[in-house]
Amino acid sequence: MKRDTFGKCVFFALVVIVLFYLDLSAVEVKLPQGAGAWITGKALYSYTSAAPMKVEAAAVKNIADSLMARATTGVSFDKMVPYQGGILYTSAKDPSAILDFEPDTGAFVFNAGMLKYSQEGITPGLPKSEQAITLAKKYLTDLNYFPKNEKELSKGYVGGLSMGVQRDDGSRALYQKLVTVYFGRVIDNLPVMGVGSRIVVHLGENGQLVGIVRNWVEVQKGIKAAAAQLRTDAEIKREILKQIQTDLSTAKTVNVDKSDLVLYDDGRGVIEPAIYVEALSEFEKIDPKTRKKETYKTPYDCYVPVFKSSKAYYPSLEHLDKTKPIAAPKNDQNPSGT
Amino acid sequence: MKLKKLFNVVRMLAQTPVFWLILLMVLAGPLGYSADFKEGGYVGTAGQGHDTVVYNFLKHFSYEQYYWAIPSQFTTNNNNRVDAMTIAFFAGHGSPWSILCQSTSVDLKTAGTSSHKGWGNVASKFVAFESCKVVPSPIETSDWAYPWTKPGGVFDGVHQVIGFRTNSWQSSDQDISDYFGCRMRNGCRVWQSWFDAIIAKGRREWSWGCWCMKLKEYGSAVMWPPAENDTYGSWCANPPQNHTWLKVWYQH
Repeated sequence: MKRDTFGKCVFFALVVIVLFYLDLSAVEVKLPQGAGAWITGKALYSYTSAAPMKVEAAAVKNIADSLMARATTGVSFDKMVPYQGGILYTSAKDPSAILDFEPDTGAFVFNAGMLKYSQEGITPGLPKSEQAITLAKKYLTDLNYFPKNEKELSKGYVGGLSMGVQRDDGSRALYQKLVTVYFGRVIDNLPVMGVGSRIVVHLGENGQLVGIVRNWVEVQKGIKAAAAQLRTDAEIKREILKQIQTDLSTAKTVNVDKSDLVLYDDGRGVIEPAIYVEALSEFEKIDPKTRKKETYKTPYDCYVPVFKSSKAYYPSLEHLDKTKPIAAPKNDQNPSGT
Repeated sequence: MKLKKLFNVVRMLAQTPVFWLILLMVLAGPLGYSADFKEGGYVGTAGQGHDTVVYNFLKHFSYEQYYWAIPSQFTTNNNNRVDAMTIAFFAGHGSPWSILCQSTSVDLKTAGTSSHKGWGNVASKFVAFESCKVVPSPIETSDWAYPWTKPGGVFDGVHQVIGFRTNSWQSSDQDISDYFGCRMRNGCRVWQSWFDAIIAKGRREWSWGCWCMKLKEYGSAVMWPPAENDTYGSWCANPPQNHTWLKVWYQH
């Protein structure tokens, strides 16, 4: 190769590298102080489901009946609608009663019927905080939905569902209708985030079972990740910045508040280490009428895999799903005269 | 001769209430149910994943509208956009009673002031906002109802408006809209499906203090009270355009 050709190649390569880094620094991203030592010196494990997750469609009817029997609302399912990825049971008597079941994963959303909670008035006999957690655990045990390894189950967090009314005469009223107990999961002293590893129990009148949301897979013993399988802290930092630059390409600044090592459960049978990132992004917009610049802030979050070759399905992969391409919206125009 | 006999039979049947009941039931299906379904999606901001969120809802239907959001869809041209849809779905940035379209915000407290009025005077039954804080609950403000129903507000016949009373989050938005769309396609109860979607797919937050996992985003739904059992397939009669009677369901 001639010397001047070689020189041109080097110059061109340098320009490409500079442009690449200029582009990456288009959005100003600030990481929290001390961030950067996510995995160094830590033993990390990944988990997969211990048994086949698939539930035969014929068994779902029994599940529907047993849930309804335990709830004792007097409502029964009388219609079954299979659809791609799920089976839905409903009741003509009470449109709020449903069982939405995913046979591939065993995850479900169950509601025993809420018609009697539609009326104004506080629900009598709603369980108090600790009592609600105890009751929720009892229902899960009775139905065989209590996690096999109790140590993984977090303490219950007690919330609820409430109703407010404003009447035509302007008078107002507020009523608590249900108590809701939220359970999460902890493995290896790391919280498990994502779609999976969640159990929610709704309780009503006198502690009656009103609903369960369950997405929980029992897992095998964890497999320790070899160092070569994992990104280094420096690579993780680059990935965090890259993810933010991709998702918030038009932001002016992004202040990362949190970047925590967690386990991520994709709800499809894989639990693996990831970095959970939470940030506040700032955007600038120009009012088309006044041409005045305004800024607005908005929260942002994402997961960054720790594995170089991740097996879990992350929300950020949705854009890359070729079997389900995202169609583009059309431009709209104001009609004349408006 | 045969025609005359048939005519006599029909004339006899027409005198019985059962005949008219059966005729009404036969017609009720095509006229009152399936002909009415229209879905529209409106994308708040480009380059932030809002298109994915909206599309994950729309993909469950053979939808009618899918636009980048501009204010007139919700205000001065709503009769041809949001109010022409049975259910309209917006994803983008929001704040109490406000959404951000491509370049400007829409104040939902005054979105019904044009000749197109608010929503529901044409076809709208349900409007959903996958946005931060658009539907405040009594936890956020005691005045949660008036901005929706006041003169110039958007409740002009619409049955339910659903959204979040808190921030909503990017990592879970697309799963929530996907699940909600699926439940709507299957004809489920509207606000309850929205709340189920948030509980089943929504973002959570771990607290070392209580060693527990809390939900980080909570839903809120305002509605004409008789419409609370509406499903995406069967709904009550439209409310009057000037009502101020409102119910809110909210998670906490």
